[in-house]
Amino acid sequence: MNIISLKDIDLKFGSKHVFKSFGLDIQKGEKVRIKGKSGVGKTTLFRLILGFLKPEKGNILYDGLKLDSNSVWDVRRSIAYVSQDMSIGEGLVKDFLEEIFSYEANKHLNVDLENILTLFRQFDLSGELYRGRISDLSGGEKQRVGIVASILLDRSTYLLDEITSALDEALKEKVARCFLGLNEKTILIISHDQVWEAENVKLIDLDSLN
Amino acid sequence: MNGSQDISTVALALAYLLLLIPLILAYYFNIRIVKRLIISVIRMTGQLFVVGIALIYFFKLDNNWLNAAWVIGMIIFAAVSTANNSELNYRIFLFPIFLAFLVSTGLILWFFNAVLVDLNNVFDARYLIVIGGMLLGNSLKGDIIGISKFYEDLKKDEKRYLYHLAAGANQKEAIVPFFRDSMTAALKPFIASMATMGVVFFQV
Repeated sequence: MNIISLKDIDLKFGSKHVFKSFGLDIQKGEKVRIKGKSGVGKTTLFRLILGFLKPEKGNILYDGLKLDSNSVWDVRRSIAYVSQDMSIGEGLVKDFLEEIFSYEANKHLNVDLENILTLFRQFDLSGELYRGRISDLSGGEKQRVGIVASILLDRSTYLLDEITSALDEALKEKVARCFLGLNEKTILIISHDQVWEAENVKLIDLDSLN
Repeated sequence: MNGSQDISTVALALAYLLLLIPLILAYYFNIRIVKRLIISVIRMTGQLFVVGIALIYFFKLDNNWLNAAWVIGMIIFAAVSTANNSELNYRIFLFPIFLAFLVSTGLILWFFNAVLVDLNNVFDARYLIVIGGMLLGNSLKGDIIGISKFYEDLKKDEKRYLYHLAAGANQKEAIVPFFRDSMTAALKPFIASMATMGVVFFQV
């Protein structure tokens, strides 16, 4: 069964057509790596699915539900999004995570400190860093904090936009293994890293589709 | 000593000489602010002249409706100035800013006049116009800092806003961090001036 369907999408920025009669179906539980040249619309595709952009023509369906200004809030609550340049403010790491899990939509998750610190350790982040300032984090550390938050959100679909770009080889492996091991979850990955190449990962080349 | 000394008109005109200090500094350091400085001084002089004459009659008449209309006029002026200084679209923002100023100034004025001073007539020109003017004048700086920071940050850090939406926040939850930052920035000058009150006077 399709979890995400894009049907006959048209989208252009100024005079440049990013998508023209574009279609895509992603099945529940599928692991999909999206590749394509820079500017082909990989990140734009994620922004369309999250309802941050509206296509000029066509429909986006999430789990059979047509994406519109009402349904988009429920759809976002089924998706976890991590990007390469995580913009998570300037306060304390701890406050950032507490804020995310204080949202009405996330209160039921009952995330406790032990859950957070276990994942911090898994991704080589120290406990001191949890109590530290976001402005003191490196790009790779910010990415991993975003990854930890997304795992704790426990959503059914994950949109991962170049999330291993600032990590070393060992960490790339660790992150890829973690996400590709989430059997029931639907995972869409934008990445040029080889670590995401696996038997169960379907490859979609936007250059050839668009 | 018989009260304070009156300033003569000539002495008041001489006060403009103080303007030479920023003008010389602007010329010396090549700061492109001379035109704005002169326009502001001319505006200030004209406004104070007209308002000074008008207020003589307002205080003499002391009509409740006229006094309220004067305060509303000041609020419109403050809202226009805030939208202008924050570089916001008039059509979208002017009315909400006006409404926010009207409600907040109105409530504080009522609290001051009715509760603290315990006036029989809360519309008394000597209190309504003077305290209203002081309230608006003093809060304008904070309003401009807070409102412009809020919208500038949202524009500059749209990714942060979108990340919070993607993490499950509703619209209100997603703007809270921006609201918090702009409130802090808006309150900073007042906190500093309150902390030095009595030692350093710089608020009217």
